[in-house]
Amino acid sequence: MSIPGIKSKPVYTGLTPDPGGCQHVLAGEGPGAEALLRLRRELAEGNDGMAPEASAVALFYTAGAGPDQGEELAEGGRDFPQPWRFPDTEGLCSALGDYLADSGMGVRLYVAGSEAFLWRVVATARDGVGISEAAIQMERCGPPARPVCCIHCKTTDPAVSTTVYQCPGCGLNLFVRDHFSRRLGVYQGVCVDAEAPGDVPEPEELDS
Amino acid sequence: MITSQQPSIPVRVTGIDQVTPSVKTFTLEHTEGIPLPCFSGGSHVVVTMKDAQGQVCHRNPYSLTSPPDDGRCYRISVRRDDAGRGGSLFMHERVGEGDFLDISAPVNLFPLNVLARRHVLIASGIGITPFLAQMHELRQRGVPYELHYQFRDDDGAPYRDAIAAREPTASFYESDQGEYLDPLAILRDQPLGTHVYVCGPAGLINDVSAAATKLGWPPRHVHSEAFTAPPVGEPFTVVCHRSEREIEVPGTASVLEALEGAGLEPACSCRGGACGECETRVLEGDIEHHDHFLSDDVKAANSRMMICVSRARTSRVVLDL
Ligand code: FES
Repeated sequence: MSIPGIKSKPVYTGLTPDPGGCQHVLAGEGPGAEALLRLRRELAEGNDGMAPEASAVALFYTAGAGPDQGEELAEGGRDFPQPWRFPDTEGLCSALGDYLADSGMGVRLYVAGSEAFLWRVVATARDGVGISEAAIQMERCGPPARPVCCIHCKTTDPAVSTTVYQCPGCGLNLFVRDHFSRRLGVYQGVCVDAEAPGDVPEPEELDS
Repeated sequence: MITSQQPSIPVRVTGIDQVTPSVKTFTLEHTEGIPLPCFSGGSHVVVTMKDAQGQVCHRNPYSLTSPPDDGRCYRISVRRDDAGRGGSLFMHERVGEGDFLDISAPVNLFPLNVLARRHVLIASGIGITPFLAQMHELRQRGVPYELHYQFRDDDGAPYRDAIAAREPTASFYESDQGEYLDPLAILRDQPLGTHVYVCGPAGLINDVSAAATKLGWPPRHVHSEAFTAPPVGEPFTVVCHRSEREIEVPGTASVLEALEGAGLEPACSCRGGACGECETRVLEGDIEHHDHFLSDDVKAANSRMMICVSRARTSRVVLDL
């Protein structure tokens, strides 16, 4: 039901160490921990098997909607600085913003988690601190739920898993378009039964 | 897209200033007195020069140095290059006030990044020209910036005094006095969101890029004015496969210029190996690449060439034209 070939739909690749960076900052949510563990191992391998200097790697984590894999992150890398763990994304982003504000142009940010989490962190780093997207990598982890903004009442639902869904703000039945705003970090939800009120198609699972 | 096929803008030279012994600044106005298009800082125009018989003899790109939002006139600065291919000498010796020239519409291959939070501008000598317009733009937009200006002596430092009077953030380095800018020191403590721009000789561009790489700057934050004047070289023959023509390229002309001289109108824009417009498939022959556009792989394969700056290594090349 979604329209193929819409260019603004982000394509997420796996996180890979950027050897050009001098300072690597990792931020993860829930199942994103696995991507961060893998990346941290690769960063160490790229450094001749040694853990990079403590000042060169920092890790921010929140369980979000779960599962909480904070323990694995803490155990998985005894040679690494301990992850900073936060109860929610807001707390994580405010600490991350403070941390990044003191970093220089050699910083690289790696983000793993739900799509809503990825773009919330990007907003903190890009709009708050001035890191360009050239220095940010993202890996989407967990179920393919999307942040969708209702174009009618502007309410964002951070985790929409079907198109059509009901807007939590205004109650309209919304079709999820693939059009994505990198600035706002949301897809567009558009009223699906405006022409023929009540004529609402069956919701379909979003699979990507 | 601006190519040589598109109409050019007829202008009249309304002022010439000798800013240093080797640099002249030309003020250009539309021949009909109508406003010229506004542009963005870093843009250049290609100036077409014609000899006494009205034949095109040179086409050179020059950065616009006037305020980008002022359509009343354009200004370009030309450094006299006695060893060059003659365009700058023509501008210095043959062009006078009241003369007519044709220019292309402005094209920007060296734009400021609009999302940058801070701009570091690094110029050497005549490389200051694109920054004159960019500094106007940045002042107007209120975005922080700093200028580092390296030159050999007073002759090599056009606009030094005007810049010193107007730009509190400018630093000057006079190499005859033993002063050299240090890219590592300049870039080291720049805040996140900074972009750096270099305009000057290849050595300076390489030094700044190397410093940025060492400090971990993402490559996309490092910009350089890439266009170069076409080099002189050995003469050779170009065979145009599709139009079945053979054209001689003299040592002092580029392939593009030779084709234009023969009445062809290949696509082109910057005439300096930077924009990619003039990319041409090579069917036969070895190429001496001078552009900043093709990837190293393509260059090595000799399958394509930028006809505005690159030359043949062989006495004959066959092009898909
Ligand atoms: S005309 Fe721009 S690369 Fe040749």
